[in-house]
Amino acid sequence: MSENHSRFGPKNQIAAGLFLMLWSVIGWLSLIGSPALWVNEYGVDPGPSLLPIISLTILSLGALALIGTGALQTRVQQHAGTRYWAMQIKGSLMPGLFAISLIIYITLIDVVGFIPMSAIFSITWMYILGVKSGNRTYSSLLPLVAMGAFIGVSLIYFVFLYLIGVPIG
Amino acid sequence: MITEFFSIASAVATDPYLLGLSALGTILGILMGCLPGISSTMALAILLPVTYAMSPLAAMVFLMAVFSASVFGGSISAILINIPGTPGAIVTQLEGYAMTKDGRASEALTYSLFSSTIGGIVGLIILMLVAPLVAKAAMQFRSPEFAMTTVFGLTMLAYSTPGSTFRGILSGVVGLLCGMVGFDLVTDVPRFDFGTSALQSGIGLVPLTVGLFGLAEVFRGIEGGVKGARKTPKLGALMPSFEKVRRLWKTILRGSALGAIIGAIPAAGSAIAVAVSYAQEQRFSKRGDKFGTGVPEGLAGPEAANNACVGGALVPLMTLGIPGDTMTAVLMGALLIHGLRPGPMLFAERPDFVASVYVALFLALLLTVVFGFLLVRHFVRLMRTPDHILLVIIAMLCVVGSFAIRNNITDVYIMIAFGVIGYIMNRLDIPVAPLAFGLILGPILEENLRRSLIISDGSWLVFIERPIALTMVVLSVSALVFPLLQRAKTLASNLKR
Amino acid sequence: MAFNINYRRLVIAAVIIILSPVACNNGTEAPFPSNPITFVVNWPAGGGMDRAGRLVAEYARKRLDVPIAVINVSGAGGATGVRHVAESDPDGYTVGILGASLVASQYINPNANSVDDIDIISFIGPDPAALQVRSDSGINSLEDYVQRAQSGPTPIKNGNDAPGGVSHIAATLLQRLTNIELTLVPYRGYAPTVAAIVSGEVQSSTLPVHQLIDQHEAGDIKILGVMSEERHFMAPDVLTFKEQGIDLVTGDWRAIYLPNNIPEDRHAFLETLFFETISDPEFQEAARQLSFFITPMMAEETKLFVEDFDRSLYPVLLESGLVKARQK
Repeated sequence: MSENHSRFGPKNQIAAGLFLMLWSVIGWLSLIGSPALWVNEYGVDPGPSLLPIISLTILSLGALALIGTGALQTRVQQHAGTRYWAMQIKGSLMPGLFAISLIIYITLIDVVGFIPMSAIFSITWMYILGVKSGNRTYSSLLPLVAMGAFIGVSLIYFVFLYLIGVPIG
Repeated sequence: MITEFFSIASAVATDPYLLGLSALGTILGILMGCLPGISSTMALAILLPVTYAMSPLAAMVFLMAVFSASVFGGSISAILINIPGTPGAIVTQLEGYAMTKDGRASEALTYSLFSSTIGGIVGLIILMLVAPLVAKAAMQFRSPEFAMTTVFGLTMLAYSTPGSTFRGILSGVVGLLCGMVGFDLVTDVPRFDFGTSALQSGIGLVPLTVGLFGLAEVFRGIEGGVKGARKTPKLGALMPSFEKVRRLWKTILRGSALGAIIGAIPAAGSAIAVAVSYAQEQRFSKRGDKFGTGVPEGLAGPEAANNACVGGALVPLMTLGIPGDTMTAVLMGALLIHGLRPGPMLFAERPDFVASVYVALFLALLLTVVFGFLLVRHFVRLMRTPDHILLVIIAMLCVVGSFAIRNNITDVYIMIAFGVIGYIMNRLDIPVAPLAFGLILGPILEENLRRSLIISDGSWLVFIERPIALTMVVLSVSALVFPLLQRAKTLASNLKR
Repeated sequence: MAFNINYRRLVIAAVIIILSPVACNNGTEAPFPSNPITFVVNWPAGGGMDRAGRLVAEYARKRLDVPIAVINVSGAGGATGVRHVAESDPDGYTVGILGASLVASQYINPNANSVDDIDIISFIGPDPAALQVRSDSGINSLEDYVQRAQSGPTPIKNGNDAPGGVSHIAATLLQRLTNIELTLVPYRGYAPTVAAIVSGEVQSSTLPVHQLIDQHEAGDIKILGVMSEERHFMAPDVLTFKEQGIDLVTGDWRAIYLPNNIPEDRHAFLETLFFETISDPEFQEAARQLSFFITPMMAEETKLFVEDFDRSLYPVLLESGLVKARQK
């Protein structure tokens, strides 16, 4: 694991370790919560729990190792990566909002219909992101967004709903 | 195989529908490849649903065109705006963008297009020569051989992510776990389903790849500060100067051979092939010390390698059902949707289909040259489409595309979940490609391992009694032990000092 | 600006396309069916169920003035597609095709619909299972097979589906009725099972007839018997199990169904439509080309068939420990 020292900061090691640890915890919980997997009546078949146990063990140990290395590094280099966590959360704010709005988008497609919902979704986000990109005035953004949303939505509608007949919305 | 090749080739060549599809695929492929933020894998993943309603032949013609053309497209953005459109184009920009800064953008594109095409053709020839042999050998494969070959594929994950081997392996393990979700094959017990019917049929390869390689990149684009319209350099005419190209023959052939071989190693992929090719050309070239300032050799070699990988990566996919890289992983999803399970049986039962893959790839290479030379200037104009328009359209494509696989809303949620997961992993520097391989290899491994044990009456010796399985065990063990030994050696020499 | 004049035509075309479905729909009450019918296939495109479904839809379309759109809603061993139809509006505009997996999954999968949640309106035909052995095994008849299984040094390895799948059920029934013990080796679907018996990983298999018909004709594989009432048209020389004294009739089958509570007149219309489609000699010839056995039945008869199938299946699933959802 020595290779990781140079490439990744200590906070990154810990964060990556925690992320992978989360997976293994969820995995172990689910595995323990399924009694059918622990019944040992499969004869020569090693059973459905063998590979999950092996994989989860590797994952848990690996995640621990990452966290451990990160912790060790932190003790060596005290000031590395200050405000790391705050930066992580702040950076993921927009993508997080986007993900949530995607879920709202797909739930509302059933209610509102594909074309109106997609139009709302695309115009809103194209506009927000356009404002964020900052090299256009608000008024010059509108025709571009309208055009972009129109082309995007009609293209998707034409290919998927019209040509292929996907029953969405 | 040869007769099938020519009969399919003539069928395709005289069918305006298929020719049109291939042309459309090529144009879309170049286009998406050169748009920054759309990798070849993503282009394939979001265009895959378009093929659901097509015949398998038409689907292959279309997808191979997208595949091969997007690899070239990725080089365009690497050369012109210093953003690799695809992972295979990471070294293209080193020499390519240097040439652009020098005002030699058209020249760089010419070299790239020329060596890409040669590389692609060499890859295809190697595919056509090697695949039937591998398939023939694989006909002897039974469950123990498949199990151990998969183990070998998994150990190669360690090499698939240079610089973060350890994290690559862990990411692969996460993929293995994702592959275990749903009903177990042998006992029909549901695993990791958290009591919901949504997860009982497992995590599909296509929603996962669309999420990891499509939506996750959208999130990254949103986070990374959206850019407005970008500037692209003016281009002159693309004309290959034969004098200049002739001097690159050896470089191109070396790159092609390397690309095809590395591409054929499961999970290795084009990023490694181009890196090796670049390093090698630097060693061979008289101008090795000038690399990084726009040396044609440093562009042509990796470009050839990058495209030769396409053919190479198809070898393990078609013969063993184990994809060579993430692009072929998506192609595997496409084959499964069309009811075709890649593997040795495919060669025995559907030689016509195998031949159609060859024809489709050949046609795609041909059309890439044609459209590359004719239309490159128009593609470049589209690169000026602002990100905030593009990202939102891509996100909607991911949603509708993942829904269209089975007309099942669960797949959309799974896609979004893996978009988020992929985004987090990108942020935390955990490679995502191994996760997709884990998802593919996990079920193959488990199924064949347990089946072997049922057949051998519970004896694990079955994996070392059979010569091919034993070979795979030896290869896997050495693949794991070799880097450890090397590290131990450096450690020992460090200690001595 | 990136979007220049060239896009104008595309935009106009898109407007027309988007507005066209709106324009057609002006709301007067027309005789059923006046809108397109959705035909749901509960397995992925390209498989046997998909080919059968698309064929039925294609021929039913010829008797209608409205189009039939075939969609594949697959997942959870066929249960997702059935749920899609069962929960659709009972207006007759959603029709589906399903098979034996319906009966099995109602016991295996707590989230699957039961036979009572849907309305099966017509039977297309059976896809009987058969017993195949490798020719080099030296087994020449069903009798040989049973004898070898009872007294051979090692159990015969049989290739089949995962538990609950049709060929697994066939193998389990075979064990019960002949009092033999096989090693059941599971494969994911028919194609890998075919590969396994061809490569010699297993000695026998319980696949549908057409899966191994070429190898049977070439002499590498021998089909010992068909698990159907009458012989299979693709292998007329092969005896049925009944002819060989074992009362074993099983395998997959295919039927057309609707959600419950369809208005009487629409129900009758669709039942007749599909019965006539499936009885059409032209359709039957096309189906034969695709190796489908066609034995059309109306709703009444089909329901009896499904009940019968259910009754024969339940003990098998119970014995294999697969009854997890509903008890009987």
